[in-house]
Amino acid sequence: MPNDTRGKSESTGLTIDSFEKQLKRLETIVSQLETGGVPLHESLALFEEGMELLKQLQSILEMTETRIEELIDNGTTIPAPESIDLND
Amino acid sequence: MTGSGGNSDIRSGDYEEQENNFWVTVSQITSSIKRCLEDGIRPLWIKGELSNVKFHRPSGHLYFSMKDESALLRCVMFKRNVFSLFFEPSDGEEVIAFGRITVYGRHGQYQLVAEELVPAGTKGIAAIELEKLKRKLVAEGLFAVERKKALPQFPRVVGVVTSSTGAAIRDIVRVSRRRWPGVRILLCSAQVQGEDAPGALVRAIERQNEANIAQILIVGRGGGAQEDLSAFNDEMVVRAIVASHIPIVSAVGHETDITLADLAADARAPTPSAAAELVVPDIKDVLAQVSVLENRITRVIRSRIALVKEQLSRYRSSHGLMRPRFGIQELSLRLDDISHRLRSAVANLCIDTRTRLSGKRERLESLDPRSILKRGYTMCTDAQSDTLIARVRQLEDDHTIHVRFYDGVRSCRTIPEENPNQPD
Repeated sequence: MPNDTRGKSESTGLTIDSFEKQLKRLETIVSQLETGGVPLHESLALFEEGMELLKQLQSILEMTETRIEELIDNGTTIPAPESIDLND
Repeated sequence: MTGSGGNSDIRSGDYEEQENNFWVTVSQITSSIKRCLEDGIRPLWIKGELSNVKFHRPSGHLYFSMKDESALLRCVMFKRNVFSLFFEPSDGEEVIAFGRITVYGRHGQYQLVAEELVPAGTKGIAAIELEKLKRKLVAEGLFAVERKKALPQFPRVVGVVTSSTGAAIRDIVRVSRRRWPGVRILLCSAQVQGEDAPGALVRAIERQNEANIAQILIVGRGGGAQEDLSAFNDEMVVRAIVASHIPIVSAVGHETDITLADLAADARAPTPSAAAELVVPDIKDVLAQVSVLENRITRVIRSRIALVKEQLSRYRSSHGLMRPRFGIQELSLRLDDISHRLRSAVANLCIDTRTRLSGKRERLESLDPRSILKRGYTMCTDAQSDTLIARVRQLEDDHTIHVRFYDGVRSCRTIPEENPNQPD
C-alpha cells in the first residue's frame, strides 16, 4: 500500500519537478522568437516545441489532487491522519 | 572619573585656537563630554525596569528607558539588534541590557545604545546563555548568508517537520492546497515542546533528508510569545537545520519570536501559514504567466507568418521570379512556332514528294511499253522463254511467239522463208 502511493506520487512528481525547467524553456523560446533572427523553419520548430510545452504545463496546472502523507521509517510514507487533511 | 580628563582636553586638545577666549562653544563642550563618556565607559550589562517602550515602526528602532528607585536611563536599540530580540519587551519588566553609553549632542542627552536586551531573573539567565550560544554559532558562520540555500520555485513535495496534532500542519495544508491544488505534503511528525522536543526535531529533519522525497522543508510550530520555543533555540536543532541538504523554511511562533532555528534556516516565515505561502507558488500567478507566454508565442508566430506571406507576395511579383516565367512563355511560343513550322514543313514535304512522284510516274508511264502498244505497236516475246524479241534474226522458222497488242496477246507461228530478210 505505501509502495503504491509512492510509485504513483513519483510518476506525477516527475512532471511537476520538470515544471520549472519547462517554464524556463518556454520563456526562452518565446523571447528567442520575439528577438527574431531565427530562420523560418527553425521558428516553426520552436513554435511547435513551445505549443507542446504549453500543453504539458497546462496539464500540470490542472492537477488538483493534494496528497497529505506522513513519513515514517526508512523513507516509507503512509496517508496522513484524516484530522490533518481538512478541506477548506 | 572623567571630569579631570575632560578639563585637560579642553585646555590642551582641540581648543588651542580659542586660547584667547575665556569661553568654549556648546558644540565644543558637548563634543568633549561625548568623548569623556564614550571613551571613558566601556560597554557593559545594566539592570533595570523597562518603561516608555516604543517601537518606532518606520525606522525599526526600539526606544525605551530603564529605571530603578532613584535614576532613569534613556535607551535605544537599533533595528539590526531589534531584529534578533527573542522576546517582546514591555513596560514594567525587569531586564538586563548590554550596550555602551553615547551622547546625542543635539538633544543634550546621554543614552544607552543597547545591543542586547534580555529579561532579568532565571529567564534572563537562560537568555544570556542563549545569547552566548548565538555568538558562538555566529562565530562559526552557521547563520552566514552565503550558507543559505535557494528555495525551489515549484516544489513537487513539501516536507513538514512539526507536531501532527498542532495547528501548524493544518494551516500549512490549508494554505498549500489553496495555492497549488496538486501539491504533495509529506509530514514527519515531531514533538515541538518539552524535554524530548530537540531530539525529535533533529530526527525528523534527518529522516526527511534520508528519505529525500521533499524538495523543501517547513520546520516549525504555531503559537505566540507565550509558547515554549526553547526547542528551536537548541544547538542540536540549529546544527541539524544547517546540515540539511534540503532547503528549510522556519516557521516558529509569531513575528516577534526569533529563534536560533530561524537564524539557521534558509528562509524565515513568521507563521506556518506564511511559510506555506512562501514555499508553495500560487497557481493563479503561474496560470497568468503561462497564458501571457501563450499569447506572446501565438502573436509572434502570427506576425512572423504574416511577414513571410508579405515577402512571398513581393517575391512573386519581383523580376527575379518573373524572368523564368517569361522564359517559359517565350519557350512555349517558340515551341508553338517550331511545331507550326514543323507541321507545315512536313506538309510541304508531302506535297513535294507527291509532285515529284507524279512527275516520275509520268516518266515511268512514258516508258511503259504498253503506252506504245496503245499507239498500235506490238511486242513479240518468245512463247517458251517469254523473252522479248526485238530483232528479226532472233526468230527461227516455224517458231511460236506471242504477239502482244494493246488489247491482248495472240500466239503466232513463223513461216519459213527462202530469202530471209537481210538488213541492208
